[in-house]
Amino acid sequence: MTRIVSVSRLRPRLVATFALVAVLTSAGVAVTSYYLTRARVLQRAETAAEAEATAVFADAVATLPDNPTRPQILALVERLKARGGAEFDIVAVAADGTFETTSLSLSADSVPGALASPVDRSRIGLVRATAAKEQFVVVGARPAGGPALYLFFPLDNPLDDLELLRNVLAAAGVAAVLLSALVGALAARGLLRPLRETRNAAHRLEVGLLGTRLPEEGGDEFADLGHAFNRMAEALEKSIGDLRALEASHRRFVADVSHELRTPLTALTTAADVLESHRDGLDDAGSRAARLLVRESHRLATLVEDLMEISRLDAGAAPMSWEPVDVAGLVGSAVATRGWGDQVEMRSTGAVTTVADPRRLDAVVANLIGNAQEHGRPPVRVLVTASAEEVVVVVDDAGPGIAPDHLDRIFDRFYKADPARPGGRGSGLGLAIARENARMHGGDLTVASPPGSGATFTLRLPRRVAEPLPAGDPTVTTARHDRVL
Amino acid sequence: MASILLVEDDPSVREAVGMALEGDGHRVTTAATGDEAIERWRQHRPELVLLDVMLPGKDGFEVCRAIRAHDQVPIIMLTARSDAIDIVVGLESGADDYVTKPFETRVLLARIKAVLRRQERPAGEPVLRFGDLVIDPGGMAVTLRGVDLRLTPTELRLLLELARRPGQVFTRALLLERVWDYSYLGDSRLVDVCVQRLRGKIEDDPAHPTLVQTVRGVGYKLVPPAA
Repeated sequence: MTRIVSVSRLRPRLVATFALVAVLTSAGVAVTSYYLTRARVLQRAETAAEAEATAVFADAVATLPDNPTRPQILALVERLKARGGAEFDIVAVAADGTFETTSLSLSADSVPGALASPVDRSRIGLVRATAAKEQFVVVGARPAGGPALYLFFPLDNPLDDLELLRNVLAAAGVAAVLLSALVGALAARGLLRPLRETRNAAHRLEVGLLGTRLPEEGGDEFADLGHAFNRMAEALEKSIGDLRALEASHRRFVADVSHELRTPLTALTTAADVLESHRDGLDDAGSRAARLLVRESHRLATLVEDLMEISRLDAGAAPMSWEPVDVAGLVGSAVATRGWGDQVEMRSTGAVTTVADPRRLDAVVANLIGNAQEHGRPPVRVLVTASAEEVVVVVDDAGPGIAPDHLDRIFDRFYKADPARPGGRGSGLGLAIARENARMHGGDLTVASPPGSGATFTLRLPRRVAEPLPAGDPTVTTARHDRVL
Repeated sequence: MASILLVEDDPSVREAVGMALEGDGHRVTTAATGDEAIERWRQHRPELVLLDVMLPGKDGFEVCRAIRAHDQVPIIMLTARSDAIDIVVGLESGADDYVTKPFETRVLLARIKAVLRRQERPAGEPVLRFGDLVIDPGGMAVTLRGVDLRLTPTELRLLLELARRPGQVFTRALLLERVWDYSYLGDSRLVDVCVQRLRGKIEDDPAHPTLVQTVRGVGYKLVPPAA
């Protein structure tokens, strides 16, 4: 699940990345172009102002009488303002501090202090400044013997243009960011779709739909990924197909062996039984040989039967026949049917019902009790208990128990705890089959050998009220099937 | 005891089983192939057929169906596989019981005895009527609207068992014990398949049985038709 979550997080991450790149790029472009343009525009305004001012000053020098009176100065400034060319206002400041001006909002106080020094030294001074809440290029000079003239060239127009430029850049920036985010989302979708497809395909493979393939259209990396994925799926399908074919042929082999072995065994055991029934007519050696033949042919039959059973269990071909079962009653019948009634102590907490395969359960119980009788010492005890969740059957005996190093391996096939002892009646497969049968029920079979007491086998079965649902989803069956391989 | 037709392709098994049957007092005729089996059955009309499933030519299922088309003789299948399919197909072909190879001789003899016992006529039992269905235990005959239904002894015993106590639910285990003489862990498929075959003969619509009804998770019961 965490992987799936991280895939869905890729989209916001991509969108954010695209948007961030757009923000940085458009901000960089906007700021740079704005300030470059601004510098150029102001520079040009200053140059124009200076040129105009130079002409105006020349005009003033030419037309202003020495020591002009205030009316003369006023006349001069009005004339200069009306001279045409660029628009500007003039402030003329006389040596005594009085001033004349062409603007209602400007006064001697409006003159920027930075101009005092050049103007005092009879040079043209130029400075950008704010006066009466507006921006101007102010050019100042003092014609000889006259008042200091300050020309205020307004910057409204270029500043308005710059503001427009700034707004346009900002809007373009926002649009670029939105567009990038959209592109990021689209790219994420383009990226995520094949990614999601790949994930879904992998999931379908996981549940056993081995025919799953990815599209390989186009020549991009996804087509490449699809190609690699499909090659993997093909290889997987082939391997599993091969394994299944192998398993099928193995099963056929088991069936064939089963038939081939059972037929001569039937002849053998039946003939031995006939011989047994005629033992009275045989001499001592013949009679003993007949008894041996009967015993061994039946043992061989058991061995073949157990081999077939474990092969079926291995192949997952052992069918379960679920029925309501009283486990305590079943154990009692298993003991009584085999004539073990007086050798086995049975205790239970009354009827213990569950749903199980009674034949398999009987085989497990009979195997455990038979083992206890053969390898342990009486009394063999069987205890059946139950809780709401499980049914527990414990079989123990009063024998010497099982050495710890044998405990782990006692369920192994053909494992004999004491190699020196001749094999008993069993096939060496009984406990392996019993454990498999327990697991077919969803339970387990375990062994313990506490010091000072005999071997204790514990069969645990989940308590059911109904047959477990057959795997209705074919994919589940397949998945389980694959596990069996 | 009884005349038995033993159909088995393996000569050693044929000989050994033949000996065991004769040792138990039966008269034995043998056949090695499906076609031979049908011919021997025609000639001898045995009281019981022991039929191997795997036969050259016609297999055991075909032989079973061929015999069943004419005769209600008890048939016990001998199968070398305990696979579910073989057993169910064999029972559906009309077999009364089955034994898996390799079997113990006493088990086979016990099965034979049980199947033969089903043919014995129960004495002094009254005739039972359920609508158009008439069961005559003494005559071993069941008729539906006057027509003889030709039930096998096993089918008849099963029907009789249910019919003696109409409405009572019989578990499969109980029916296995009463009809098949399995005292412990018989194969409940014997009951299920036999009920199917019985329904095929006595029910108007075997897919929707009204007379022999299934009690889910328990067993079967016979429901007399409303008068």
